[in-house]
Amino acid sequence: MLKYTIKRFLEAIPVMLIVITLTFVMMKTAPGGPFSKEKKVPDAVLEALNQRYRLDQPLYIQYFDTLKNTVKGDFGPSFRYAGRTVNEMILEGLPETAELGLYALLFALVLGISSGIIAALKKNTWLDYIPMTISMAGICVPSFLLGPTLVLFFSIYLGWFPVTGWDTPMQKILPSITLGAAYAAFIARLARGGMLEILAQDFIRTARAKGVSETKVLLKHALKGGMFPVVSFLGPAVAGLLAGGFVVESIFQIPGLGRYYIQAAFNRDYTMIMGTTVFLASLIVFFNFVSDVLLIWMNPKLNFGKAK
Amino acid sequence: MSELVLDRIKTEKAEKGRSLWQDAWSRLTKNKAAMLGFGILSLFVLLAIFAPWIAPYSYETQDLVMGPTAPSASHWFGTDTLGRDMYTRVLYGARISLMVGFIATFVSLVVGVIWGTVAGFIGGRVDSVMMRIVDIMYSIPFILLVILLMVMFNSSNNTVNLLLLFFSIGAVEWLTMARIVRGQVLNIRKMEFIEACYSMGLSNSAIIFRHLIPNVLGPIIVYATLTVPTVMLLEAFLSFLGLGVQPPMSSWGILISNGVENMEEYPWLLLFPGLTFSATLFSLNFLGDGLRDALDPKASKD
Amino acid sequence: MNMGLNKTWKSLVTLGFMGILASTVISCTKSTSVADGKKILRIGNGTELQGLDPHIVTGVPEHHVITALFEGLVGANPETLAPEPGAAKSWEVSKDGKTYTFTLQDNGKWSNGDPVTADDFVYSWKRMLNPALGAEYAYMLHVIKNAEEFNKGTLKDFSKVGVVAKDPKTLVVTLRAPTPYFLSLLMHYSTFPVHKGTIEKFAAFEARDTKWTQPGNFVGNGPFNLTKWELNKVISVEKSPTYWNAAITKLDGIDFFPVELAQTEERMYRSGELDKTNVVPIHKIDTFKKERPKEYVNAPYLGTYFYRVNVTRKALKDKKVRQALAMSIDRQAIVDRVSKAGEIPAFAFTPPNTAGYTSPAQTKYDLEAAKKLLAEAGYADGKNFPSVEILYNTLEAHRAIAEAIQQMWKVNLGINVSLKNQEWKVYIDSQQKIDYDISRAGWIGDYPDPNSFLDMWVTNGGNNNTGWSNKKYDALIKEANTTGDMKKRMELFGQAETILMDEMPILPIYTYTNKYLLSERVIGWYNNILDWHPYQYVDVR
Repeated sequence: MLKYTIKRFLEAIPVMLIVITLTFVMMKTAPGGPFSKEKKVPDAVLEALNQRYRLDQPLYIQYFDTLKNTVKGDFGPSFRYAGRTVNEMILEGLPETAELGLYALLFALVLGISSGIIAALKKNTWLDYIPMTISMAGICVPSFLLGPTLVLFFSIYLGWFPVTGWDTPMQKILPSITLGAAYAAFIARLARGGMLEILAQDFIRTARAKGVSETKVLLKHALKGGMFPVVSFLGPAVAGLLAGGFVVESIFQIPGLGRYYIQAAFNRDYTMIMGTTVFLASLIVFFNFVSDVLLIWMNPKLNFGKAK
Repeated sequence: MSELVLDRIKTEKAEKGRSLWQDAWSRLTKNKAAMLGFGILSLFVLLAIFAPWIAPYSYETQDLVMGPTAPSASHWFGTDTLGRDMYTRVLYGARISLMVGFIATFVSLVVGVIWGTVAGFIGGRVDSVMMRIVDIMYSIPFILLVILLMVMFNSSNNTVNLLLLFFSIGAVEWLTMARIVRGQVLNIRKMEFIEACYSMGLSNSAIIFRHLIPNVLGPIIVYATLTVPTVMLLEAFLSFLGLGVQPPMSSWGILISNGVENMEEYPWLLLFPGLTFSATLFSLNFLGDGLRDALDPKASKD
Repeated sequence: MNMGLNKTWKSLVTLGFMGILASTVISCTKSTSVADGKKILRIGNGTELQGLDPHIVTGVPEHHVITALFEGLVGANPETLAPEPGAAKSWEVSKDGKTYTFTLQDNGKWSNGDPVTADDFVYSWKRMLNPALGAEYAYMLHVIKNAEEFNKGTLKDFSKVGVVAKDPKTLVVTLRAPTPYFLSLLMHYSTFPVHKGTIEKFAAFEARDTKWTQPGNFVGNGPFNLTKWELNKVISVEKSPTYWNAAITKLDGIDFFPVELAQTEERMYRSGELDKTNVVPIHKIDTFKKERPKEYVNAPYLGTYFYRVNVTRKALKDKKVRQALAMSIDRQAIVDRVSKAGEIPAFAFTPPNTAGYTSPAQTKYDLEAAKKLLAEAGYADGKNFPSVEILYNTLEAHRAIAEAIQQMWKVNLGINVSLKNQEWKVYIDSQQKIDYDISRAGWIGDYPDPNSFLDMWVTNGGNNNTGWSNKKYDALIKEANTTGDMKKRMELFGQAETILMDEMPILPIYTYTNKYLLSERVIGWYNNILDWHPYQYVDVR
């Protein structure tokens, strides 16, 4: 296990290097810079700005600056928000985003896995159709539609919840549901599919034939294998929950990281783009690693280290 | 090696040559939900293809004085804020959305399944490299990638834009598919009947195509049906970045996102594209489940 | 109703286990903002601020907050915008209109208790004009003698620039030419003073991004003082006791919320989380007009919505084509049916009655004339008209207008144009590289004077971006800006705009209006073309 962890950690280095390089190339090639505005910035001013932020340096120097900063873990000042550093902003937005992501994930896991399992066990009965129909609705209704609709009914018409904010428990319910719904739907369907697959396998049939109780079959044998697709999905999904809350954060005015990630690209805030991308990439690498470790744990026969 | 397993491999081999597809087809046609889904989908596809002949109005002709009106005998789905017939716009939107939904999903399906199967099956260093490439693709800022693509192939030609659209969507959507397939393959690879295949001297490609892929088809079909709506909505976001179809042409995703802003004032602008979108996804889903069951190599014994 | 039903059903299920929780928490979360009896005004403020340093930022949301925190030499009457005492209690203008002598308020103070002195202004303007700072709005001060030279780095000695502190309370400003709108310039935040001690406590003079604008560090001279700044959440200011006119400040504080989505903002307003919004979603305008007409505000704004025409492209080279395009846009239909907010159809570039000036030349909506012009240009009924593209930045409102104009040209002139949207920065890039055929644009005046609208069209002007150039036009603008005779000046602008409206490198569409929702709670709030609301006069019930 330790060996596997070290191996994955070493593999992360080239991954990050390639991500940084690609991101650097893309942001430098994308038209428009951090200081391009509708009212054109006078040339002399632009020169001063470029000098201030070292944008007048040759590209390879800027590239090495970026690498150096990443290694030091200090991404420098934001180009857009005067007087703030990228690190500060990431640290400020992270708790809100993490909390939102956590609630949404819990909501999605509890709802998704339980309804997926029930649906698989009671295949082609109402206990299958109803949760699966609801989960399809969860996918049909994207968050940019679900959020405003929930707000309209529960905040405006019924007045039960505040429209925006992220301070009180009441403010956290609608955003968590909105973000979690699509994931719950994905998980429910993947869980059902995985369970059906496993329940049809020989060893389950053997167990059943041997007269092992249904609960035991389910808990001891089926669950681990049946959750395989869910776990594979969860790696990127967790990272996505942490960085992809952009829409939900905007609808509910949550001061989170997801908005920085998107806004940085639109603002061409170079340091912020790099900071958020490196941060997100680390999350993806980490959670995909966790998800792979879970896969091994669920099926100890697997050994990623060796070819067959 | 248990008797059961050996027995099963033999049966599968025997079944394969004879009637796998016929069997699957007959099982599928017996599944009412799947056939209903297939029927609705075919209807939508036909409507989309023949939209120019079916549509009662032009999709771009405006009537600013009339503006948004509720559904009526002359405008079944009402009219939008510029006074254009919504029924016509939904019909034309279907062309874009169905095309994007199916083609982009198909692309991501093919790439993702092959990538995931190869990584999972070969394992070792190949697996590491392939999965790290997936990590990289996940990590790069998608918005910048799209902006760049759009600028590099600067064009107001809808065909070029559509191709770019397929490419950009394909670039992200195969990733999760690859991860899921790989996870499944890893799991199944170690199962007894695959080991049995080796001992029977089957070639790698035979194992992959005859035994591995059929056994991971369930999650693949499920995930593919989930990808279609994601892709259709992603199209609306990309058109926000300037990639995709240009107005006055529209798609379901764009119609829905416009409808969200009008949900209180002119609910029909959300309702009708939303309904057709949902109907498509439900049908797709029933069909997907039916297909999964029909193609299940073990199904015949249940 | 399929989708709606599923959603409601789903929501009901989730509510099952949340309902109980909900009822217990509800009573204690509602209406916390006014609970403690303080008078707080809550304003929706568009996007998150770029910063609070008046010399560095450039946007409108920044303007809304900075005017609460700082005060320039001259204030403005909240209703008429007529100059009023600000940091200066009085001023005198020399006969030639070139020298202004300001006497500062006797008890003008910074929020840390230091007196506001004439030196503070000299220091601030030196900082603003310092080329190393890279202040984008430095050109607002270029009307001062030698300021432009210093700003461009050709003059190193600031003592040669026309701003001198005669004594701690007297500031003398010498202009390079008589500038009738100089006092309006002083209402712009780029001319506001900053506190020397605070700036230099954190970094050197010309450092751009330091921590001095953070709550706790911040020092200003306005009616309010900064207490809280949480990114993407809220900026809170409270009444400043050191402000020279603190006696008239009625509010205890203001909260500014950076709300980007119009739909979210409108809902915050409806649920009572905001007193004033930044915008109104287009499709909500009719509803508010009908149901809550007192709360819907629609005020003229100093800005023009227009299309730029790339005069170097194909058919667009011909001014007859440009005239035909301009004459076949039904502007009234656009403002009534598409943008819907009662904007004023624009037939010239400078908004009507800008500092008393209205363009003598106006284009018109005249289909017969338009068809004739197009035929004269060789494209009778749109035949052989090359393919042309309208570029716009992605926003539903722009798309709708572009679609409407596309149809008008198709129906009225028989020409087919295509549409193309680009993400904001790509769009700006295309515009500045003049890489488009026809492009949507908007221009908001920096100060109420025709010059703010007309000097951008001079040859190679930084914001011209159309490829258009006219020597006579250049000369007229130059002459207007050097003459001391106000009447003659306006005539010269009139002649210049006549050329502009004949050549038509731009197609004016409408004069902006400023639309927002304002709660009836708020009193002492007036509408004016600069969207300027001195908060010391505002109160809430």
